Amino acid sequence: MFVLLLALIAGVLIGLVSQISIPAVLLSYLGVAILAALDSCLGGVRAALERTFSDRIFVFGFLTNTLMAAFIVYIGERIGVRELYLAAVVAFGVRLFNNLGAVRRLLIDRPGAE
Amino acid sequence: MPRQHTTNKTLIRLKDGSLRVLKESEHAVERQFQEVRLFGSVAVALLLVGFLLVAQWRGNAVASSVLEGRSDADLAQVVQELALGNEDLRSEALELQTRIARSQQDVESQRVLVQKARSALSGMRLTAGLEPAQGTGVRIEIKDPQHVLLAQDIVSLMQELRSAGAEAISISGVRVGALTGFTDGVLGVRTAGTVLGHTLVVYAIGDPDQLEQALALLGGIHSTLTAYPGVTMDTVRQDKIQVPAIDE
Repeated sequence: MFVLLLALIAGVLIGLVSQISIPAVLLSYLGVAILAALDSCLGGVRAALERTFSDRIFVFGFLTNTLMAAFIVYIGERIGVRELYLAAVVAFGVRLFNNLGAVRRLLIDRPGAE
Repeated sequence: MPRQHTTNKTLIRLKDGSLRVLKESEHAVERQFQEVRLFGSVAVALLLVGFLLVAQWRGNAVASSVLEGRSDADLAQVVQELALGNEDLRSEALELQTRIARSQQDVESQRVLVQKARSALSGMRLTAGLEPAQGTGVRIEIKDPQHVLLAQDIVSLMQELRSAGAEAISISGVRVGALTGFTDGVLGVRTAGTVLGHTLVVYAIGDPDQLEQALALLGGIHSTLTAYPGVTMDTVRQDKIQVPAIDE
Protein backbone atom coordinates (compact mmCIF):
# COMPACT_ATOMS: atom_id res chain seq x y z
CA MET A 1 0.00 0.00 0.00
CA PHE A 2 2.89 2.32 0.78
CA VAL A 3 4.06 1.97 -2.78
CA LEU A 4 0.77 3.48 -3.97
CA LEU A 5 0.99 6.41 -1.59
CA LEU A 6 4.58 6.99 -2.66
CA ALA A 7 3.51 6.90 -6.30
CA LEU A 8 0.86 9.55 -5.63
CA ILE A 9 3.37 11.74 -3.78
CA ALA A 10 5.91 11.25 -6.56
CA GLY A 11 3.31 12.33 -9.11
CA VAL A 12 2.56 15.47 -7.09
CA LEU A 13 6.28 16.22 -6.82
CA ILE A 14 6.82 15.75 -10.55
CA GLY A 15 3.90 18.11 -11.16
CA LEU A 16 5.39 20.68 -8.81
CA VAL A 17 8.84 20.43 -10.34
CA SER A 18 7.71 20.47 -13.96
CA GLN A 19 5.78 23.74 -13.50
CA ILE A 20 3.16 22.57 -15.96
CA SER A 21 -0.13 24.40 -15.87
CA ILE A 22 -3.29 23.37 -17.69
CA PRO A 23 -4.70 25.94 -20.13
CA ALA A 24 -7.99 27.47 -19.02
CA VAL A 25 -10.05 25.87 -21.80
CA LEU A 26 -9.09 22.35 -20.73
CA LEU A 27 -9.66 22.83 -17.02
CA SER A 28 -13.24 21.61 -16.90
CA TYR A 29 -12.39 18.47 -18.92
CA LEU A 30 -9.39 17.54 -16.88
CA GLY A 31 -11.16 18.14 -13.59
CA VAL A 32 -13.75 15.47 -14.29
CA ALA A 33 -11.09 13.23 -15.85
CA ILE A 34 -9.03 13.39 -12.66
CA LEU A 35 -12.08 12.42 -10.66
CA ALA A 36 -12.61 9.43 -12.95
CA ALA A 37 -8.95 8.45 -12.69
CA LEU A 38 -9.07 8.63 -8.92
CA ASP A 39 -12.17 6.46 -8.93
CA SER A 40 -10.44 3.93 -11.16
CA CYS A 41 -7.45 3.78 -8.86
CA LEU A 42 -9.63 3.15 -5.83
CA GLY A 43 -11.52 0.57 -7.83
CA GLY A 44 -8.20 -1.10 -8.61
CA VAL A 45 -7.22 -1.20 -4.97
CA ARG A 46 -10.60 -2.59 -4.07
CA ALA A 47 -10.30 -5.27 -6.73
CA ALA A 48 -6.83 -6.12 -5.46
CA LEU A 49 -8.13 -6.53 -1.93
CA GLU A 50 -11.02 -8.65 -3.21
CA ARG A 51 -8.48 -10.64 -5.22
CA THR A 52 -10.35 -10.01 -8.46
CA PHE A 53 -7.77 -7.57 -9.85
CA SER A 54 -6.87 -7.81 -13.48
CA ASP A 55 -4.30 -5.41 -14.83
CA ARG A 56 -5.86 -5.43 -18.25
CA ILE A 57 -9.26 -4.49 -16.92
CA PHE A 58 -7.68 -1.87 -14.70
CA VAL A 59 -5.70 -0.15 -17.46
CA PHE A 60 -8.60 -0.32 -19.86
CA GLY A 61 -11.04 0.95 -17.22
CA PHE A 62 -8.69 3.72 -16.22
CA LEU A 63 -8.32 4.98 -19.79
CA THR A 64 -11.98 4.66 -20.81
CA ASN A 65 -13.22 6.26 -17.58
CA THR A 66 -11.00 9.32 -17.89
CA LEU A 67 -11.59 9.75 -21.61
CA MET A 68 -15.32 9.21 -21.25
CA ALA A 69 -15.53 11.73 -18.43
CA ALA A 70 -13.76 14.38 -20.48
CA PHE A 71 -15.89 13.45 -23.48
CA ILE A 72 -19.13 13.90 -21.51
CA VAL A 73 -18.06 17.39 -20.49
CA TYR A 74 -17.17 18.15 -24.10
CA ILE A 75 -20.50 16.87 -25.38
CA GLY A 76 -22.36 18.84 -22.72
CA GLU A 77 -20.61 21.99 -23.79
CA ARG A 78 -21.25 21.34 -27.49
CA ILE A 79 -24.96 20.66 -27.14
CA GLY A 80 -25.54 23.52 -24.75
CA VAL A 81 -26.09 21.42 -21.64
CA ARG A 82 -23.10 22.57 -19.68
CA GLU A 83 -24.53 20.99 -16.56
CA LEU A 84 -23.94 17.58 -18.07
CA TYR A 85 -20.56 17.55 -16.39
CA LEU A 86 -22.51 17.38 -13.13
CA ALA A 87 -23.75 13.95 -14.18
CA ALA A 88 -20.17 12.74 -14.53
CA VAL A 89 -19.12 14.40 -11.28
CA VAL A 90 -22.01 12.86 -9.38
CA ALA A 91 -21.55 9.42 -10.93
CA PHE A 92 -17.81 9.29 -10.31
CA GLY A 93 -18.18 10.88 -6.90
CA VAL A 94 -20.67 8.26 -5.77
CA ARG A 95 -18.51 5.46 -7.19
CA LEU A 96 -15.45 6.93 -5.54
CA PHE A 97 -17.06 6.89 -2.14
CA ASN A 98 -18.45 3.42 -2.74
CA ASN A 99 -15.00 2.15 -3.59
CA LEU A 100 -13.51 3.97 -0.66
CA GLY A 101 -16.06 2.42 1.65
CA ALA A 102 -15.39 -1.05 0.22
CA VAL A 103 -11.63 -0.63 0.58
CA ARG A 104 -12.06 0.52 4.16
CA ARG A 105 -14.32 -2.41 4.94
CA LEU A 106 -11.92 -4.86 3.38
CA LEU A 107 -8.96 -3.46 5.27
CA ILE A 108 -10.75 -3.40 8.61
CA ASP A 109 -12.42 -6.80 8.17
CA ARG A 110 -9.12 -8.43 7.39
CA PRO A 111 -6.42 -6.63 9.30
CA GLY A 112 -2.97 -7.37 7.94
CA ALA A 113 -4.43 -8.67 4.71
CA GLU A 114 -2.27 -6.40 2.63
CA MET B 1 -0.43 -17.76 -20.82
CA PRO B 2 -4.04 -18.00 -19.77
CA ARG B 3 -4.57 -19.05 -16.20
CA GLN B 4 -7.45 -20.39 -14.19
CA HIS B 5 -7.67 -19.74 -10.49
CA THR B 6 -9.29 -22.30 -8.24
CA THR B 7 -9.49 -22.16 -4.47
CA ASN B 8 -5.92 -23.27 -3.67
CA LYS B 9 -4.36 -24.33 -6.94
CA THR B 10 -3.74 -22.57 -10.21
CA LEU B 11 -4.22 -24.45 -13.45
CA ILE B 12 -2.14 -23.49 -16.43
CA ARG B 13 -3.06 -24.15 -20.05
CA LEU B 14 -0.08 -25.38 -22.00
CA LYS B 15 0.57 -24.79 -25.71
CA ASP B 16 -0.75 -28.19 -26.69
CA GLY B 17 -4.07 -27.40 -24.99
CA SER B 18 -3.67 -29.66 -21.95
CA LEU B 19 -4.03 -28.33 -18.40
CA ARG B 20 -1.71 -28.91 -15.51
CA VAL B 21 -1.50 -27.74 -11.93
CA LEU B 22 1.21 -25.25 -11.07
CA LYS B 23 3.84 -26.43 -8.70
CA GLU B 24 4.14 -24.65 -5.34
CA SER B 25 7.29 -22.73 -6.31
CA GLU B 26 5.76 -21.75 -9.64
CA HIS B 27 2.67 -20.68 -7.75
CA ALA B 28 4.64 -18.41 -5.46
CA VAL B 29 6.45 -16.78 -8.39
CA GLU B 30 3.17 -16.37 -10.19
CA ARG B 31 1.55 -14.64 -7.20
CA GLN B 32 4.53 -12.37 -6.70
CA PHE B 33 4.53 -11.51 -10.37
CA GLN B 34 0.84 -10.67 -10.24
CA GLU B 35 1.30 -8.50 -7.17
CA VAL B 36 4.01 -6.54 -8.90
CA ARG B 37 1.76 -6.02 -11.88
CA LEU B 38 -1.07 -4.96 -9.61
CA PHE B 39 0.90 -2.43 -7.67
CA GLY B 40 2.80 -1.35 -10.75
CA SER B 41 -0.25 -0.46 -12.77
CA VAL B 42 -2.10 1.21 -9.90
CA ALA B 43 1.07 3.07 -8.91
CA VAL B 44 1.55 4.35 -12.45
CA ALA B 45 -2.08 5.42 -12.53
CA LEU B 46 -1.73 7.21 -9.19
CA LEU B 47 1.47 8.85 -10.40
CA LEU B 48 -0.45 10.20 -13.34
CA VAL B 49 -3.33 11.30 -11.11
CA GLY B 50 -0.97 13.15 -8.78
CA PHE B 51 0.73 14.88 -11.66
CA LEU B 52 -2.55 15.89 -13.28
CA LEU B 53 -3.90 17.02 -9.92
CA VAL B 54 -1.04 19.50 -9.48
CA ALA B 55 -1.26 20.66 -13.08
CA GLN B 56 -4.99 21.19 -12.70
CA TRP B 57 -4.52 22.96 -9.40
CA ARG B 58 -2.02 25.35 -10.92
CA GLY B 59 -4.10 25.88 -14.04
CA ASN B 60 -7.11 26.68 -11.91
CA ALA B 61 -5.15 29.17 -9.84
CA VAL B 62 -3.94 30.88 -13.01
CA ALA B 63 -7.39 30.80 -14.59
CA SER B 64 -9.14 32.29 -11.58
CA SER B 65 -6.65 35.16 -11.63
CA VAL B 66 -7.54 35.99 -15.24
CA LEU B 67 -11.05 36.74 -16.37
CA GLU B 68 -10.98 34.19 -19.21
CA GLY B 69 -11.32 31.18 -16.95
CA ARG B 70 -14.14 32.47 -14.79
CA SER B 71 -17.72 31.37 -14.94
CA ASP B 72 -20.57 33.61 -16.09
CA ALA B 73 -21.78 34.14 -12.54
CA ASP B 74 -18.28 35.15 -11.44
CA LEU B 75 -17.96 37.53 -14.35
CA ALA B 76 -21.34 39.05 -13.55
CA GLN B 77 -20.15 39.61 -10.01
CA VAL B 78 -16.90 41.12 -11.23
CA VAL B 79 -18.83 43.45 -13.51
CA GLN B 80 -21.13 44.38 -10.65
CA GLU B 81 -18.20 45.08 -8.35
CA LEU B 82 -16.55 47.18 -11.01
CA ALA B 83 -19.77 49.10 -11.60
CA LEU B 84 -20.09 49.70 -7.88
CA GLY B 85 -16.48 50.87 -7.66
CA ASN B 86 -17.05 53.07 -10.67
CA GLU B 87 -20.07 54.62 -9.02
CA ASP B 88 -18.09 55.28 -5.89
CA LEU B 89 -15.27 56.89 -7.82
CA ARG B 90 -17.70 58.98 -9.82
CA SER B 91 -19.41 60.32 -6.72
CA GLU B 92 -16.02 61.00 -5.16
CA ALA B 93 -14.95 62.90 -8.28
CA LEU B 94 -18.18 64.89 -8.12
CA GLU B 95 -17.60 65.71 -4.49
CA LEU B 96 -14.05 66.84 -5.19
CA GLN B 97 -15.22 68.95 -8.11
CA THR B 98 -17.79 70.55 -5.86
CA ARG B 99 -15.08 71.28 -3.33
CA ILE B 100 -12.86 72.80 -6.00
CA ALA B 101 -15.73 74.94 -7.23
CA ARG B 102 -16.56 76.01 -3.67
CA SER B 103 -12.99 76.96 -2.85
CA GLN B 104 -12.71 78.82 -6.14
CA GLN B 105 -15.87 80.63 -5.19
CA ASP B 106 -14.38 81.39 -1.80
CA VAL B 107 -11.24 82.77 -3.42
CA GLU B 108 -13.38 84.77 -5.80
CA SER B 109 -15.55 86.19 -3.05
CA GLN B 110 -12.47 86.98 -0.99
CA ARG B 111 -10.98 88.77 -3.95
CA VAL B 112 -14.22 90.70 -4.38
CA LEU B 113 -14.20 91.56 -0.69
CA VAL B 114 -10.60 92.74 -0.86
CA GLN B 115 -11.40 94.76 -3.96
CA LYS B 116 -14.42 96.33 -2.27
CA ALA B 117 -12.43 97.08 0.84
CA ARG B 118 -9.67 98.59 -1.26
CA SER B 119 -12.06 100.78 -3.23
CA ALA B 120 -13.83 101.77 -0.02
CA LEU B 121 -10.46 102.67 1.48
CA SER B 122 -9.44 104.74 -1.51
CA GLY B 123 -12.88 106.39 -1.45
CA MET B 124 -12.39 107.22 2.20
CA ARG B 125 -8.91 108.52 1.55
CA LEU B 126 -10.34 110.66 -1.22
CA THR B 127 -13.10 111.98 1.02
CA ALA B 128 -10.64 112.56 3.82
CA GLY B 129 -8.50 114.45 1.32
CA LEU B 130 -5.38 112.43 1.98
CA GLU B 131 -4.66 112.00 -1.71
CA PRO B 132 -4.74 114.38 -4.62
CA ALA B 133 -7.65 113.66 -6.92
CA GLN B 134 -8.43 114.21 -10.54
CA GLY B 135 -11.48 113.69 -12.72
CA THR B 136 -14.58 115.28 -14.19
CA GLY B 137 -16.64 117.70 -12.15
CA VAL B 138 -17.67 121.32 -11.87
CA ARG B 139 -15.93 124.62 -11.28
CA ILE B 140 -17.93 127.07 -9.21
CA GLU B 141 -16.94 130.70 -9.05
CA ILE B 142 -18.57 132.76 -6.33
CA LYS B 143 -18.07 136.51 -6.23
CA ASP B 144 -18.78 138.25 -2.93
CA PRO B 145 -17.63 141.86 -3.22
CA GLN B 146 -19.34 142.94 -0.01
CA HIS B 147 -18.19 140.12 2.26
CA VAL B 148 -21.65 139.02 3.15
CA LEU B 149 -21.03 135.29 3.04
CA LEU B 150 -20.44 133.60 6.37
CA ALA B 151 -18.60 130.42 7.19
CA GLN B 152 -21.85 128.53 7.58
CA ASP B 153 -22.81 129.44 3.99
CA ILE B 154 -19.59 127.90 2.76
CA VAL B 155 -20.22 124.84 4.96
CA SER B 156 -23.71 124.49 3.48
CA LEU B 157 -22.21 124.64 0.00
CA MET B 158 -19.71 121.94 0.93
CA GLN B 159 -22.46 119.74 2.39
CA GLU B 160 -24.61 120.25 -0.66
CA LEU B 161 -21.74 119.21 -2.92
CA ARG B 162 -20.93 116.17 -0.76
CA SER B 163 -24.49 114.98 -0.66
CA ALA B 164 -24.59 115.36 -4.44
CA GLY B 165 -21.75 112.86 -4.61
CA ALA B 166 -18.68 115.07 -4.80
CA GLU B 167 -15.66 112.92 -4.07
CA ALA B 168 -13.11 115.67 -3.62
CA ILE B 169 -13.55 119.40 -3.16
CA SER B 170 -11.12 122.27 -3.08
CA ILE B 171 -11.82 125.87 -2.32
CA SER B 172 -9.39 128.57 -3.52
CA GLY B 173 -6.68 125.96 -3.90
CA VAL B 174 -7.24 124.43 -0.47
CA ARG B 175 -8.43 120.85 -0.24
CA VAL B 176 -11.55 120.41 1.82
CA GLY B 177 -11.34 117.26 3.91
CA ALA B 178 -13.54 115.70 6.54
CA LEU B 179 -12.06 117.83 9.27
CA THR B 180 -11.66 121.08 7.38
CA GLY B 181 -13.31 123.92 9.21
CA PHE B 182 -14.37 127.41 8.18
CA THR B 183 -14.28 130.46 10.40
CA ASP B 184 -15.52 133.99 9.97
CA GLY B 185 -12.87 136.69 9.95
CA VAL B 186 -12.64 140.43 9.39
CA LEU B 187 -11.41 139.98 5.83
CA GLY B 188 -13.85 137.19 5.07
CA VAL B 189 -14.15 133.48 5.63
CA ARG B 190 -10.92 131.69 6.55
CA THR B 191 -10.00 128.10 6.22
CA ALA B 192 -6.78 126.34 7.11
CA GLY B 193 -5.06 129.65 7.62
CA THR B 194 -6.13 131.02 4.25
CA VAL B 195 -8.45 133.95 3.80
CA LEU B 196 -10.81 133.12 0.97
CA GLY B 197 -11.27 136.71 -0.19
CA HIS B 198 -13.83 138.22 -2.52
CA THR B 199 -13.69 135.59 -5.17
CA LEU B 200 -14.06 131.94 -4.22
CA VAL B 201 -13.21 129.26 -6.74
CA VAL B 202 -14.54 125.85 -5.78
CA TYR B 203 -13.61 122.70 -7.64
CA ALA B 204 -15.68 119.61 -7.02
CA ILE B 205 -14.93 116.21 -8.54
CA GLY B 206 -17.96 114.02 -9.15
CA ASP B 207 -20.78 113.40 -11.59
CA PRO B 208 -21.16 116.90 -13.22
CA ASP B 209 -24.88 116.35 -13.94
CA GLN B 210 -25.70 115.48 -10.37
CA LEU B 211 -23.56 118.28 -8.97
CA GLU B 212 -25.11 120.89 -11.26
CA GLN B 213 -28.60 119.67 -10.52
CA ALA B 214 -28.00 119.72 -6.78
CA LEU B 215 -26.69 123.29 -6.89
CA ALA B 216 -29.39 124.63 -9.23
CA LEU B 217 -32.25 123.04 -7.29
CA LEU B 218 -35.16 125.40 -6.64
CA GLY B 219 -34.65 126.74 -3.12
CA GLY B 220 -31.20 125.12 -3.11
CA ILE B 221 -27.80 126.52 -2.33
CA HIS B 222 -27.58 128.54 -5.57
CA SER B 223 -30.73 130.51 -4.86
CA THR B 224 -29.79 130.85 -1.18
CA LEU B 225 -26.34 132.33 -1.89
CA THR B 226 -27.35 134.52 -4.80
CA ALA B 227 -30.11 135.93 -2.62
CA TYR B 228 -27.42 137.78 -0.65
CA PRO B 229 -26.66 141.23 -2.01
CA GLY B 230 -23.91 141.35 -4.65
CA VAL B 231 -23.22 137.63 -4.58
CA THR B 232 -22.98 135.84 -7.93
CA MET B 233 -22.37 132.18 -8.55
CA ASP B 234 -21.30 130.59 -11.83
CA THR B 235 -21.17 126.86 -12.30
CA VAL B 236 -19.17 125.41 -15.20
CA ARG B 237 -18.66 121.73 -16.04
CA GLN B 238 -15.09 120.69 -16.55
CA ASP B 239 -13.70 117.49 -17.93
CA LYS B 240 -10.45 117.57 -16.10
CA ILE B 241 -10.18 118.89 -12.61
CA GLN B 242 -7.23 118.47 -10.31
CA VAL B 243 -7.59 118.77 -6.57
CA PRO B 244 -4.55 118.83 -4.28
CA ALA B 245 -4.16 116.79 -1.14
CA ILE B 246 -4.54 118.32 2.28
CA ASP B 247 -1.43 120.00 3.58
CA GLU B 248 -0.48 118.08 6.68
